[in-house]
Amino acid sequence: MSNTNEQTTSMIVHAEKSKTLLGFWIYLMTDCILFASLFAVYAVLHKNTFGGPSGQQLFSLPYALLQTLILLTSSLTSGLSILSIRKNDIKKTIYWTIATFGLGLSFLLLEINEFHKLYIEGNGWQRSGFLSSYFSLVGTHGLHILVGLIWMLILIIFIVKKGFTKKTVKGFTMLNIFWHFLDVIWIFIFSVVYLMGHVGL
Amino acid sequence: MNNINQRFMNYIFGYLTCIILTLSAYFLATTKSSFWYLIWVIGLLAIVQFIVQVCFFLHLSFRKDDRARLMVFLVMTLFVTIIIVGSIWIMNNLNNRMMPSTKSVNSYMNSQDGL
Repeated sequence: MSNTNEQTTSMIVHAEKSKTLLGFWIYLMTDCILFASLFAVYAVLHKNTFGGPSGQQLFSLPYALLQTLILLTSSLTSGLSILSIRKNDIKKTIYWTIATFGLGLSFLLLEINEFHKLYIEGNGWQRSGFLSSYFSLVGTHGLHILVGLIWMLILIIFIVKKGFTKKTVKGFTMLNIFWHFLDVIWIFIFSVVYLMGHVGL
Repeated sequence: MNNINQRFMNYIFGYLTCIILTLSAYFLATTKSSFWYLIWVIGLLAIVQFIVQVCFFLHLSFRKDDRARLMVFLVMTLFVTIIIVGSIWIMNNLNNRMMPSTKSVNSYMNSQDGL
């Protein structure tokens, strides 16, 4: 069940150099193109409020900042879980992954709460072109977060049951990249949608 | 072990830099500076943070064994730039050509009122 340090290190080196990881990286880059299209749609439609409220009136900046800081911290804890694998420390790996899961879940709940509030106030996706593009862009990001959270749960169960195997280590390496990638996308959502929206773009 | 410490410091450095960049963009956005200045500075800060995260979190580098990842990444950046800049350019151009302002529509409607 328990590996020596060298075994685990060789597993993670193997995972990082594997073709699976390169393939996963290519998937992430194509995912970037999906987000780029949604950003382009947002950039084109963000002025079409159809007489409804604009981003400047709708979004609360401190709320978005809180979300940003939570996601950034979860990115750090996700990285720390990978470092714990390098140290061959199963317990810490699980703790850091659970921390990442908690932060990711609170991010998602904050986002759902914001969506719910917008919808209740009559500013749902059917209100205007601006809100349609906003919900598709931020909603797609939220959907990715949800997938990441489910993936995390599955990996935690695997690692509790089986310990560090080639498969689980590879899974964690990919999940880590996926999670960092989502944080990278969020930088642009925060800057373009919330900050620039507040300035009045 | 040394390698792990190095990676740990990388993470901490990246994390702190990102927090500083996020907070400075946030506080800039709440000030009342001129519009285009703010847009450019916020955009620039976002791009700097993007580069910091790619280097320190995604560990993309110019090392030889990273060459394939770097190539895919650069092609992605090119595509993304084309999609975003191209869409904004074309749609704004179309908008200018095809969407008359409310004022000109109203004056047109008024001029056609008797018909």
